[in-house]
Amino acid sequence: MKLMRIHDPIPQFCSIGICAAVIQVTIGCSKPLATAEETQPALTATVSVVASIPPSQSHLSQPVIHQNLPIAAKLVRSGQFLDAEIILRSMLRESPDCARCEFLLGVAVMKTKRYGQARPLLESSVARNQQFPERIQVDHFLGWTCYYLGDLESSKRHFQSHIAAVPTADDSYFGLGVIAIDEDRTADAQLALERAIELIGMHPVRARDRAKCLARLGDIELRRDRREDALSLYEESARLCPDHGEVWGKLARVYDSLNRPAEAEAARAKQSSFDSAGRAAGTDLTP
Amino acid sequence: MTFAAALQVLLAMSASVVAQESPPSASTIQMRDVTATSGIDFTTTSGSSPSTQILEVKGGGIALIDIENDGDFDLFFPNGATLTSPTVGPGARLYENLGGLHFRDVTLSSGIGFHRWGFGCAVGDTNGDGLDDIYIACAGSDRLLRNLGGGRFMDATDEAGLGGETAWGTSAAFADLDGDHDLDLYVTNYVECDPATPHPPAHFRGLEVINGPRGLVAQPDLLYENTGNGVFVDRSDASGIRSPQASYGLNVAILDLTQDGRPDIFVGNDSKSNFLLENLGGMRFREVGVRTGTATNIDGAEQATMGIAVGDVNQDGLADLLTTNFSDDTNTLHVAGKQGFFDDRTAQYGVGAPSRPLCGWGAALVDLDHDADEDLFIVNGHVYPQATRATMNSEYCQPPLVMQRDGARFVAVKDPTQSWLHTPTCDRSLVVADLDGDGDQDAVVSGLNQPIRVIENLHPAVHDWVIVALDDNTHPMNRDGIGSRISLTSNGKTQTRWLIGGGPFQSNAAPRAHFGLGGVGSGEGVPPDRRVAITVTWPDGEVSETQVAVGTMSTITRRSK
Repeated sequence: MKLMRIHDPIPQFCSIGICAAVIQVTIGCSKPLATAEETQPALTATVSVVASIPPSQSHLSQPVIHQNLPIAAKLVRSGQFLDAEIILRSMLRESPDCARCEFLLGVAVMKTKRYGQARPLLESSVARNQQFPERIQVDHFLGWTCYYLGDLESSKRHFQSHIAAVPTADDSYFGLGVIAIDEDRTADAQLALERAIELIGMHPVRARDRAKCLARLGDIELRRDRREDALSLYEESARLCPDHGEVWGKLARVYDSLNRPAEAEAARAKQSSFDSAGRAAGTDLTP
Repeated sequence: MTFAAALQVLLAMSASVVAQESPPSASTIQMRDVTATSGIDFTTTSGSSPSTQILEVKGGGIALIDIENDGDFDLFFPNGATLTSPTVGPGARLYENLGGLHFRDVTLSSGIGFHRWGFGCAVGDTNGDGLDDIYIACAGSDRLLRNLGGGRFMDATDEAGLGGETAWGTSAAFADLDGDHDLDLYVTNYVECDPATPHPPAHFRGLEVINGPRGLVAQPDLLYENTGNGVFVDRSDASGIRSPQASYGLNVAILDLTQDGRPDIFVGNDSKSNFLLENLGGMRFREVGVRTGTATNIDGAEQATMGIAVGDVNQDGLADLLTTNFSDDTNTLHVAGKQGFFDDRTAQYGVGAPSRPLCGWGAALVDLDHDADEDLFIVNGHVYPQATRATMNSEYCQPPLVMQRDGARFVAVKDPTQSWLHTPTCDRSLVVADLDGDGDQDAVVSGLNQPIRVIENLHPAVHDWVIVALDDNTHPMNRDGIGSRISLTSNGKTQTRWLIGGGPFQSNAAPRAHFGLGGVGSGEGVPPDRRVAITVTWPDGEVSETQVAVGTMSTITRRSK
């Protein structure tokens, strides 16, 4: 078994079935209740897990290769989405049948929150039936893309497909948990989120992802009117990932509801500091 | 968890999905667009198309007003203007209700010569002459149109002590805020804006777009006290409503939200925390939006808060708040708790995900199908003309969102046979009321530079409803009883409505309580004696109990004891 990280060269051995490979799992740094900045799969996370390429992919054709693909992939991985978009659009003009170009462009566009534009690109990248290294992750990106477009049914389907192909896909379990909350299926949501936490594990590098799951579990406890339990989960989430402004916002509300104004104010101050920092760093002035 | 267990999770989810899907193909909510036969052939003006400045994107409200006390609602539209002629637009329009959803333009004979850039409307009898007047929040000095009777109006702004300010007013609401039985006035103001010196464009999703409100200078709201004879005094500073920093006020609803019997002021601020101005008595207020959970959503996030719908989604007798928001965000349902905190129950009730691709404006919680619970009616439309599914995940013109209450959740009505539900428009304001006297709730919608639309509710003509109006003879300055709480009990089930100031968006909510009863003859809806119990809690806290016949609009008159 060969271990490969996302920044490694593109694997050349994936065009046949039952070929176990270690593929970068796209870990989403999620913002509970789905504010867009963080509940997105990231190509930049550096956690590798084992995944197997299912036999069903054996029918896939050889990929259309464009010489600039490695550059584009590198730009996407490094978060230079606008630069990547320019290059990828140019590449697609030259090679309109390149499924991987479409995928990478879909990711670049999605990461700049243009989900309506990303969706057909990601769907087309799969429909072309070409093999490319990240193909197994497309469902994950489509899951979040559809989620942000309000299409929960499609989102669920994609997350489920992703999990079927990559059973260790914690962020797709997280996605299913988020959807279940939106559908008020609290027991399902809890199961999915707990599964995500189990898969994430305890490594410090994954603290943020664990934190986001805990925050969502807190939402579930709030839904059940168990405020103290919600509070504990939010507090643990904030402890794990103290720069996650949204969790401080959740905490502040629970403190308010429990008539603990001083703690609420402190939590709100934390939230404001992170919100302000985020806003200052962003380019969007409106809305 | 084992892999098998994980699969079980998936399967469980799939099974649940089957149960939750399948919204009714033919909904019990049946409505249709009857604009063509309504006699309303009026296209609003709100700047030019495409919009280039923030002043052009808010549209104008709708006033429901019974001009001559003949029992039905007439319609007033303030209308806007253009950037090239911002102080002289094509003018407001007044339509008389002729019955049967037919209206007649009576603007000329009414004497209304309002041509400013109008936004929000408030309706109330400001001087106790038994006739409802209209307040218009404007870009620039606001106006009060006094109802003279006989279908005539005059501009009484100056004599009422109003119009001294020049801010951009977006919404307004009348309510008795100091408990002296006359109607005071709250006006939300938005941003500093001069059409002659346009703001430079901003950027959103990589596109150059209209600037604001973030980054623009907010203008403080206004509170006027009615001195008892229709003359108002500015109490904005003394009342404490300006203690919180000025924000981007877009909408206002006035009702008792803190459960102390006094009407509070809920202000929807665009992209900022909402205010809940708790009424302390004596025309004093303090901001408790954050402490009560109404300022933000579950994540503590500030939202756009355009529309405000008031209802009782869990039928616990406490008023809940549904607010509409920007696209890529969700509408938010704040459900009141006994301890005075409003929990965000958006996901629980299913109102979040369907709203994500929409930019929501006017909203109403209203029982459209008379099944004894409130449905949700929201009109939508993006603010940026550049908006498409590809650029902003959201189209510029968007269809309305009607959500039917189905058990514990709201489910979007997708009935393909109702074409009006699928027609994209650029809507802003919505009012709902029984406009044709058949007991169900019809709707009127206005938008940006587009024709006014009249939507008829086609609920079958069965007597499964009650409408209650109030007539407070003892307090002629608030005869409609704005601020009252009305409960209906039938077969052991109690429903509650509030006669609020302000409401949907830049418009007034009908000062009548409408109830669906949930079926006839089944034993669960309409009682055998065809009478239901009504409890009215008047604005001063006095309680009246009576019974009314189903299938009627009943006026409950309060008399001196």
